[in-house]
Amino acid sequence: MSDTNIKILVVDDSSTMRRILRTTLMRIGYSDVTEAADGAEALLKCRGAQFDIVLTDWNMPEVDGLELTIKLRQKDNYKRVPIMMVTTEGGKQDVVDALMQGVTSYIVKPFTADVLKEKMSDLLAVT
Amino acid sequence: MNDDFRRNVLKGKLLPAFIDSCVQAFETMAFVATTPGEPISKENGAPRGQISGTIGVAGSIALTGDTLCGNVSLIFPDQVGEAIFRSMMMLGDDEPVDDTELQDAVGELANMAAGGAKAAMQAMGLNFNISLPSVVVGDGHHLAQPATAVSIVVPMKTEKFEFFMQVTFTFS
Repeated sequence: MSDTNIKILVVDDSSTMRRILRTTLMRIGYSDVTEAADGAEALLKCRGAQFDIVLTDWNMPEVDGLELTIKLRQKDNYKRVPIMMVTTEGGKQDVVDALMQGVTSYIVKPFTADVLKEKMSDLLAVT
Repeated sequence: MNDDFRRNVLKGKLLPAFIDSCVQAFETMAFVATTPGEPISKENGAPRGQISGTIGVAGSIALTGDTLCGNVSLIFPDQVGEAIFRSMMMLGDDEPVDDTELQDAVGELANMAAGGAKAAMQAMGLNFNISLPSVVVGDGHHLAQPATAVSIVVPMKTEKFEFFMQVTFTFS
């Protein structure tokens, strides 16, 4: 799967982070990016489209990143889609909790474009 | 725990973690190199800002069982917040800045400054949680803190301007 074919869903209640993620993803070669402002909107978008990777913040109102992950993993077409948590929650227990709920990978804010690129490559390698 | 001990915990443990996290956040996400200045205690007067972002913090010291709560604020004087936003979003000087996006960015920078410190402090036996950010907008505002709290202000210097990190805690 070439980078240009990969459909990415970016979920974050911060417009700043959505913009940063979109810009950084484009810089590292990923141009097909859809945004959702929270977990509820993300679930709606996932009903209408098949994304190849989901990047989600953890702390969001209504439906947070963990709950979004749990709900997506209940869908047949999202059981194996890589989900990466993009968050400031970098403690060991936080990572364990996220992985236990079905998160595939984890990136801690702040991050560089190089780190995001490496993480995305790792995600694609397992799909 | 007396005030000196509290101040030492704040200065020796909490403050360095928040400073390091702030420096990293600004360098990585805003492409702005920052250098912390000498801490200023609140007796010297609170810094004035045009826009500021605050994160609430609450937790405990594993070694002593003491609880602590407080907040971490990034205070940006006139036009500094906008300058950092432009750098963060790679906007030219003549491109317009949306106020809502600026406020969101300030909150996000405060979130990263506090969140990055959280992991570092967990390793030191300081376990705490952080709140969602709140942002205050208004020329010349300052963030008043409880008289019983220990509060330290750190000037954060960049090549072109200066902003402030204010760390405030109460212990019990």
